[in-house]
Amino acid sequence: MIFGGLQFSKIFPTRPFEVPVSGRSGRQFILIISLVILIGDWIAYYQWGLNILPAWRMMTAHTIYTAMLAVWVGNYAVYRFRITRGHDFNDVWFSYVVTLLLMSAIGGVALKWLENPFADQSRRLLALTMSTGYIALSSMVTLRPPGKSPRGLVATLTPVVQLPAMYFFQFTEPEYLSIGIILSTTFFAILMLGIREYIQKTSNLAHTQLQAAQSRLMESELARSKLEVANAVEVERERLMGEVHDGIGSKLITALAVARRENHPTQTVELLRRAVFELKITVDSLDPLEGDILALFGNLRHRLEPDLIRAGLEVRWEAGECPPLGWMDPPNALQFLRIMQEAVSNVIAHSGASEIIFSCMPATHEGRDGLCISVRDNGCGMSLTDRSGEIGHGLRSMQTRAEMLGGCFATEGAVGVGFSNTLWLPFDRRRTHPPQLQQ
Amino acid sequence: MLAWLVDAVAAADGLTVDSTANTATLGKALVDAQGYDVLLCDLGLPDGDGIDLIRHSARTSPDADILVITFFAEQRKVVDCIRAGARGYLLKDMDAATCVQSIRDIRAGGSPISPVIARYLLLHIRPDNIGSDTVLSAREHEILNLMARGFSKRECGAMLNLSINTISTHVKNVYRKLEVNSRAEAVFEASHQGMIT
Repeated sequence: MIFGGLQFSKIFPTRPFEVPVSGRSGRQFILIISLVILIGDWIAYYQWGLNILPAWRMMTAHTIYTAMLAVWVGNYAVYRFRITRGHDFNDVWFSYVVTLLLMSAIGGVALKWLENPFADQSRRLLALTMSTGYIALSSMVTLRPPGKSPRGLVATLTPVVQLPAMYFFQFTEPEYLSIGIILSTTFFAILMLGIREYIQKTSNLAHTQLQAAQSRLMESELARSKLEVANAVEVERERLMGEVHDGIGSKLITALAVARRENHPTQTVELLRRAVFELKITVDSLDPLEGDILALFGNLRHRLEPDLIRAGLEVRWEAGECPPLGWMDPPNALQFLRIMQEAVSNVIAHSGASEIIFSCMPATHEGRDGLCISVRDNGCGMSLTDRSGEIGHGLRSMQTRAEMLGGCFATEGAVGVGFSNTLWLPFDRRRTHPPQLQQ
Repeated sequence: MLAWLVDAVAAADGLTVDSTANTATLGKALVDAQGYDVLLCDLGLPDGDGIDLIRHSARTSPDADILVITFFAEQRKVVDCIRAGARGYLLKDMDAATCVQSIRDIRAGGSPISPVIARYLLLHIRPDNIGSDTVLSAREHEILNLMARGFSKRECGAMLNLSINTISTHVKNVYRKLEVNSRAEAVFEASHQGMIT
């Protein structure tokens, strides 16, 4: 595959945002920043609350900080362990991030509740700064080219998850602490969703363009290989046609001219004429006219016209609306032309008829749609007992050819009525319905 | 082949052989000399392609009729020759009488046609009711459609209430339209490639 070596980063030659989560060092950097904020917050809380908060509130705060620290460090340790052992892929980073975010959201809300009735202006300012730091950091961590994992969206939405709890504080803490946290959370939630949307769009666009380019490439590859095959066939055909023209063709023509000029026996002339004719229909079959049976059949009639005139036969041509047979290729076209040529030869040689009827009509056979092509005459009508020797052999070979075409062939003769050859060919050569059982 | 054809034509009433050539170079000199009504031309000349000779004749003697001598009258060859300016064809295995008849027909204003060639013309010349130099008229379309479905000129005539001669004349006109079309295409190609400015 041409695109096998193409990496995702090449679709984004300049990424809209350089996010420090893609590499190992970026993750460790974020971890360290998180820990610094967490420990700084913890120390500030401790110093402020030491003499203000009741002992149980202080103990709860310490438990929350310890739990958060344990979750952050422990989760990262488990993440590294599983990655190095090969249990997980790099994608597990997201489960780490999600845990971290939920923890900081729950912890942040709980801490604000603990300090709520006692906080003064400076403590509130510090708490606001720390909360904004958590939210900003956690929002940034979730940024990553999307489409890899739905958990990424959950992580982005975490600031949004924090919002209801913050609204709750709006009622218990009417001061700017809760308003500030609500505003910062909302701001980051909207910013992150916007950025995510932007990246998604860019990436979708790039993906669509890539797919379009790929399908165009495949189309042109296909067209090119088809063209190459067609060209090869064409060159080969030209070569063969050249051979036929200069070699056997011109020899046969010369032989025929000599035989005519020197009054050779009629049989010799006939044999040569027949050979020339067979060469002609072989050449005709090379171009099956996209399965246009009527034109193929009509052309055979056109070629046979001089013979029919010489045999004194009136021609009747019956043509229905005949859609093309999609499967008609040169070998099949030759089989078809040979069956029909044989039928006409029999009429000329054996029937003694005055009229020949060519017909090509749509017809259904055993429930399948197809075309019915027939050659009929008003001659003697060969009876069954006549079907021996040369004629019988000819009829059998027509039968075989019809079967090779996936159709069927039937003849019918009655003394005083005439003889008919009927070939039926299906539009679809695959047998979809098995032959119906007679009930 | 040449000798046989000369004999056949010379023996016919009202036809005379003006001159003959067996190479493309000599042929070109004959075409340059002009003064002929019908050019019979084989494609496989020892020193060149007969189709160039046909093109040359169509340019220098537009009133002369050109018949190409072919073995199979296969679609591709015949169409190429019509595009070059030919108006009909003789088959190499025709007997003398048929050859002479074809020459007389072409002089009377009619061209031969086969279902395969009719089909090609239908597919490659745009139909139009307005009537112009390069598109098929409704009548021509009707005739070609019947021909492509295997009907003979006589049957077409009976179905459309026209004489065989009229049908043949229509066919000849369609051949001319194909030639004009292909010349227009050639000019378009050439101007497209910057050969004509």
